[in-house]
Amino acid sequence: MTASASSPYLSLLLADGRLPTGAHTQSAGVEPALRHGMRVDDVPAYLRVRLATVTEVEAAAAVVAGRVWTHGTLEPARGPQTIAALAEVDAAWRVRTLSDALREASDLLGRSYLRTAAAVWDLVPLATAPGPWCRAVVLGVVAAEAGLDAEQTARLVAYDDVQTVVSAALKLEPFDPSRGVRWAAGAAVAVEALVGRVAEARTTADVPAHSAPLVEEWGQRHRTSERRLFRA
Amino acid sequence: MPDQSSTIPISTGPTRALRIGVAGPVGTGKSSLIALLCRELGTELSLAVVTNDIYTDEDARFLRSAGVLDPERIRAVETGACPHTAIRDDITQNLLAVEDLERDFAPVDVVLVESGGDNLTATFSPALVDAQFFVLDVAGGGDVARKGGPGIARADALVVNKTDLAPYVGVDVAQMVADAEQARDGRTVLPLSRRDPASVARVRAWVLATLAEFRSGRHVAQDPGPMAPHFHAAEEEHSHAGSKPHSHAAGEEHSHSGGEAHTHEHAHSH
Repeated sequence: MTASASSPYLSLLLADGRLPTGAHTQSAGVEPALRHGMRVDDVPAYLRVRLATVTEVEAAAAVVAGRVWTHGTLEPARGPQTIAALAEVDAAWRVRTLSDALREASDLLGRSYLRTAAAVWDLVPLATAPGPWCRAVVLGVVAAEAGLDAEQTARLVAYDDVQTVVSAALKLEPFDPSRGVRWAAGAAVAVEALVGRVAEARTTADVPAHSAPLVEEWGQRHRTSERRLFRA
Repeated sequence: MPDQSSTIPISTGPTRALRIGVAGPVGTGKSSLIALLCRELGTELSLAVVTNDIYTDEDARFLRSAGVLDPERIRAVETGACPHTAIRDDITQNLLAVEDLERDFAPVDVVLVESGGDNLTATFSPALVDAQFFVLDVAGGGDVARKGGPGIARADALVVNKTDLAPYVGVDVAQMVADAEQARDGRTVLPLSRRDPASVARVRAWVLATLAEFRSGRHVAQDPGPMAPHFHAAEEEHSHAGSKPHSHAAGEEHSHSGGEAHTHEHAHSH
């Protein structure tokens, strides 16, 4: 995967919170975390935990999916073998995500992302294959089609996670917004470390199996909680 | 590389359900209007409902408990504290919910999409709904209709709800309706009390007329607009009418197609 000339620009486009993919309905688990007693001051630590665990799994799956998609272009045409390989990546992410509530939230985001991106890029056969596809697979494919390389793809996943947490926290327990920007900027080291760990992922065996039990448990409980603002 | 052939087509005509939005401030009776429509039309039409709540599924639970529609046909969409965004800017989650209902209960005639009770400025994107109600109530004060706003001025139909409460809150319903009609340049205004069968019949007829128009392929979704319109002082009427000939033409055609629903000809007295 070599980055295309336009990939720096398209990376920004895909990372922009204004991209209409329904992301504003998500909190990356920070709503249930705050509900279950995490203090808003702990958001930076919460970000580090996610970047070291669930977000790294997602980023690695996206990188592998992107490689599958890119290699598909070398074939005479993308076809069933591309979809079968993406289904393997999808399954690899799925078995590493214990909470079915979190898997369903990811599926919904994957559909939204695919819906928007398929109107912009040629994503057949993924766009026409029966889903559900987790967000990691969709994001990896879209990033590859947009010309992003593995590092840009991993950074996109990590950045999106950080900003989802910070902006949802801001809505749930309002604080000086510059504080949230400081948290997001402060996550740079952990994000780049994540990028370094997953950029070489080539097969599903390279997708790590980290888990964050509290994130999973809170995510699971959130599905039945009343008066929630965010889907997950 | 952009490829138009991969664009997900926006289907029109009878291949999908008519999508009707219900917007309006908190507490004006959006959920009650939807419950009323389900009761009035549920036996002759296949209906489904999507709710957008500030606090997730409050409205969905109200509608399910009302027992007017199969609970499976009522789904809630989370809005991440952005009910305005979810129906106007990034409508993705709502579109997916609407499409899922149309697929799961095919054929669906009408999907009703309820906005999270926001303020006077929130209206639906025409990419999400084909037509929209904006709901006010007399208890919110008789002057709200006159103050205007995109929903009040240009939603396909304005419902002035709870008219039976007017004597208790000191509102002159006829004046409020006249103000609304003036703010709307003659577009449909539907005073409503669930205790007044004639008013219920007019709302019902408006939905059926809109469905007929939609199925004929003549219906064009209108955007009420994102911002409050300028104040409708009497001397501005003409310049305003002249400045927006197209939207007015569409609006008049639409409300006239509503036939019996358009019962307030005195609106044109200005």
